[in-house]
Amino acid sequence: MPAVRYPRLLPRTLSASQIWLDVVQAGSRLELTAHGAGAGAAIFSWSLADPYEQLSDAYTFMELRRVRPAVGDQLYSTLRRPMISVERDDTDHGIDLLGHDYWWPREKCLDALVEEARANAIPAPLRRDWPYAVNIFARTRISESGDLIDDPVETKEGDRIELRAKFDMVVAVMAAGTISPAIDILVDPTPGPDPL
Amino acid sequence: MNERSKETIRIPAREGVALDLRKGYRVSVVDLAGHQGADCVAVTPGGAVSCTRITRARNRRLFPKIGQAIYADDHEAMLTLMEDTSPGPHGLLVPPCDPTMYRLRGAGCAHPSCHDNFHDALARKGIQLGRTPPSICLFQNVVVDEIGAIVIGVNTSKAGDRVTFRAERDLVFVVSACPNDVFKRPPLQPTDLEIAIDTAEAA
Repeated sequence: MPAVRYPRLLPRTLSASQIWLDVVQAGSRLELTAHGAGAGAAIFSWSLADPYEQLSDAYTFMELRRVRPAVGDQLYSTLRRPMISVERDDTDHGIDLLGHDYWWPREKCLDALVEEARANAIPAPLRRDWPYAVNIFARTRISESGDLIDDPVETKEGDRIELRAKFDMVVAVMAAGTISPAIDILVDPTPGPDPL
Repeated sequence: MNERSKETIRIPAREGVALDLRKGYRVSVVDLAGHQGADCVAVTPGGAVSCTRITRARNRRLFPKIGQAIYADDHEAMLTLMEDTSPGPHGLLVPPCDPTMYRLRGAGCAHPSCHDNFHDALARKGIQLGRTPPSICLFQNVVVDEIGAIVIGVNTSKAGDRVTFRAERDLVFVVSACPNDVFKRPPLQPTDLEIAIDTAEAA
């Protein structure tokens, strides 16, 4: 039997505040690569079958019993299902569930993502019910007194975070900031070695 | 001008209530027996819902200090923390207990939960949410250690400890006397809560 051949995969580059939204099939790998120091992105995700089953900080905290996901961990949905596994993180705990993205153009980016889903007939929750974002290439530290402190990630050009979808889902990405370096997104549908 | 009034409501263990608060009302959640958790959410008539993540981000805290607020998903303040006689620390990290959690932990499919209490109490007000917001977990003994591990212990609140908020907008405040008896050792079974509402600043 001939080997399955996938077309050559090309990354999509998002400059600061640009957006991307698409269906990511179960088993696919999502690569996010920084173009330089200060790059960042917010990721939203929900089940293709049910836009109200969403990537959740709270359920991930509950199941991991840790605030900083690491390679080998799974991020959970609002139905307590493993949703995304973390396969690579060059930045050492560069996936931030504690903070919240609210830079200036965020609302316009969200409007654009809502329109992108509508224009492509991709199932999405109502705008007010969109999930909260997971921030990548970002980290938050907690002081002894419970204060949250930005803990800058020393991202270098080429640093990468790789995630794998555990079931069919929609993924939306906002590249952070207004003058931050770009990020590359690549979706590789080649299934991983581990069973879903 | 309205007359000032005070009202108290008892929430039986494992149950939940939804209360209408006007802007300026003060609401106190009282742990009557000690060690009991009170899971809360708030919803405005316009559909804004209390948001643990935005609350953490706006206050730059795991839980607000006195004078800081609980925020909604529209980034506006909903409730300001006015008083806390408990040792805390309270929680904004984990979701309310739900039927799936109890089933996965071997407690069966019909165990009461804060998740169901929220939706049932809101339904009695004619409110339906498309999702379950993570709750404001009063009296919850949740801490994050220096390596980022989340440790949830038995609540350390004592009988009579109270947490008081001031409503910053008209809203429905939902409180569940957490039914969790899976992670508590006897005799620490779920107990009643009391809610005290004071209309002082709205009067």
